[in-house]
Amino acid sequence: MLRYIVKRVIGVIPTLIIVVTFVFFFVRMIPGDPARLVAGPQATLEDVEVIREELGLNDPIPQQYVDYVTGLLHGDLGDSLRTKRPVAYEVSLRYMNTVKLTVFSLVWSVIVGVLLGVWSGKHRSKWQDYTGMTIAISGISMPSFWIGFLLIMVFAVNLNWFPTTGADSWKSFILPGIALGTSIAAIIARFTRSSIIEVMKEDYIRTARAKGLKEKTVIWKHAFRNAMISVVTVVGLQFGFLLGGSVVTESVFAFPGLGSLLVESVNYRDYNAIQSLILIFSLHFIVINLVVDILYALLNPEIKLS
Amino acid sequence: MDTRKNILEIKNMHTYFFTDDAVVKSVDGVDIELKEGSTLGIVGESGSGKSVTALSVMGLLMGTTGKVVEGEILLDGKDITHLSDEERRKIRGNQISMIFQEPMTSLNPVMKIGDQIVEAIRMHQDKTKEEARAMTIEMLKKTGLPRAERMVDEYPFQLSGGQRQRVMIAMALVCNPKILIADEPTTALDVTIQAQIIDLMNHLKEEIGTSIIFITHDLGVVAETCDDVVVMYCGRVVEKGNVFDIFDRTAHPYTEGLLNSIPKLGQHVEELASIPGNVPNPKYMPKGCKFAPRCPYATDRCREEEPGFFDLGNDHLSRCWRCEN
Repeated sequence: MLRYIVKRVIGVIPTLIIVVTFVFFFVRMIPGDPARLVAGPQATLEDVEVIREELGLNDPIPQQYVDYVTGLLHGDLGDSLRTKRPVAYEVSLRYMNTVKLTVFSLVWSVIVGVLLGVWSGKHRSKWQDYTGMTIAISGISMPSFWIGFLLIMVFAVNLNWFPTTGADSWKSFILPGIALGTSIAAIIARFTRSSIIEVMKEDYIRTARAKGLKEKTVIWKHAFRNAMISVVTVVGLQFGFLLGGSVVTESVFAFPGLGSLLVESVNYRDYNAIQSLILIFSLHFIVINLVVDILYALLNPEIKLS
Repeated sequence: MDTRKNILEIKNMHTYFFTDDAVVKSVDGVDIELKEGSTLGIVGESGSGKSVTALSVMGLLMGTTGKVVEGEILLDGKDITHLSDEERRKIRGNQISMIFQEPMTSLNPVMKIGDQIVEAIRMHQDKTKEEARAMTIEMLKKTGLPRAERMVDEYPFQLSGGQRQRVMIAMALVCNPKILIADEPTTALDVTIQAQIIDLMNHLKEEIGTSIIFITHDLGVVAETCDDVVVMYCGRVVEKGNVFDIFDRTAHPYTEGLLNSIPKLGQHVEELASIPGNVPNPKYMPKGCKFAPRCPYATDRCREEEPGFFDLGNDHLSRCWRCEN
């Protein structure tokens, strides 16, 4: 098991090299001049040139790449072109907000999604199934920004229960968390349902029933754990998307998280911030994939013991 | 004449499957008796309704569209068809157990062997975990598994097919059921292992005092293990009697066909004997005798009119017009 983990961690290195390289060159292909955006529309050409020199944008691109990678190896993400502060500092201001929002969204969507999925799956083709899946399809069909606006209208503006924007107290997390988690819950519900239906056809479920076990035990003890093996992958991937992909929802709620930081950085062609954020998002995926694979092993004794 | 009482009596049982466009009559009026302490073989080709009969007795048709629509199942004299789901559940694994054809997939892959047997014990008996575990180890030893103490903590993938079938047998017999239904328990196993499993079942039958229903298409196995035989075709019983009458005084052409299909040792044959044709599609059942289209002796009467049972004495019954006289 330990050897397996070490092997997987070493396997991550080539992925990281590819991501760093790809993002570095890709960002510089975006049209627009960061120096001009930093200097402002009224600045003279000379001013822009001075700023460009200051930001190190006049160096040959391979030189910039080497500088960037050298910095990375020393744990330096560089300074933000926009705020002049270290990118690491900018990220640290918002990182925990996004993590909290993501964890909250994921926790409720996993609970709701799995319960709804099991409920639909075990009552396949009955009214419970149709109800559950209608809810799930609605959840997938509604874009998160639209749910966000709706929630703001009802619960923030009309009822005044929650703030519309910011991340000042736990209340600020509720509405964006709901908007963000809805489609995830729906995806997990659909996945859990089909997984449960597949597992319920297995011979060992018949064996469990032949033992005279209660249907509740058959489902939660025998079917559930086998069904979860495939659901874990989906949950892991969704977690990765949430950590980086909440760009739209964070913008709707003006939520100070990584997603809105990315949007601002792209607007300013803040090369250093963009490439650092993408690198962080990739790291999230890599770490989550690793955790999912380890979870797999824990759920499946055949992998755990070999 | 055998005077032992019937531990299980199936009376005129009909099990139908309700599909969108048709009603499939998988079991259509079956009478079967199992005498206490004996082994009954149910033989027939795939699709003859033998497995569905077993599942009907177990009450394991949930999750399918199947339903016992008519008839009685008397367990020790009491009809169980009208019991609630909860009462049927308490009989399963406790008074009637079942083992299946596929030992490779019949155990839960993510649960330890021991836990799977322990939960069967604790479902039906008031035992602590430790007591149930001790019972499990003892039962595993009875099935001839080596190193049972360690095996309780192993997962199914660590065992061979034959070992898994032994675990299934241990699981089925651990609550001392009155009846064990074995649905082709040896079909998926190697020939050498098959013999071991059959010996084991015969041995445990004596030790635990369980009556066995042995479902198979292998008449060789039947000759070796069964006291009585029921031959099924198209959801009906076509011939039944004790094993000697069935083998020596075969009355139904279908049974004859099955017997002829067994290759004999030392006999050189150009071509293996078989029954021509296939089991008819349950949606398009022939009128008259269901076996008539494949029967070498079929007459016009066979194609028009379905025969009832003719008693040939000594509880030997056959559903063929040729037995009329």
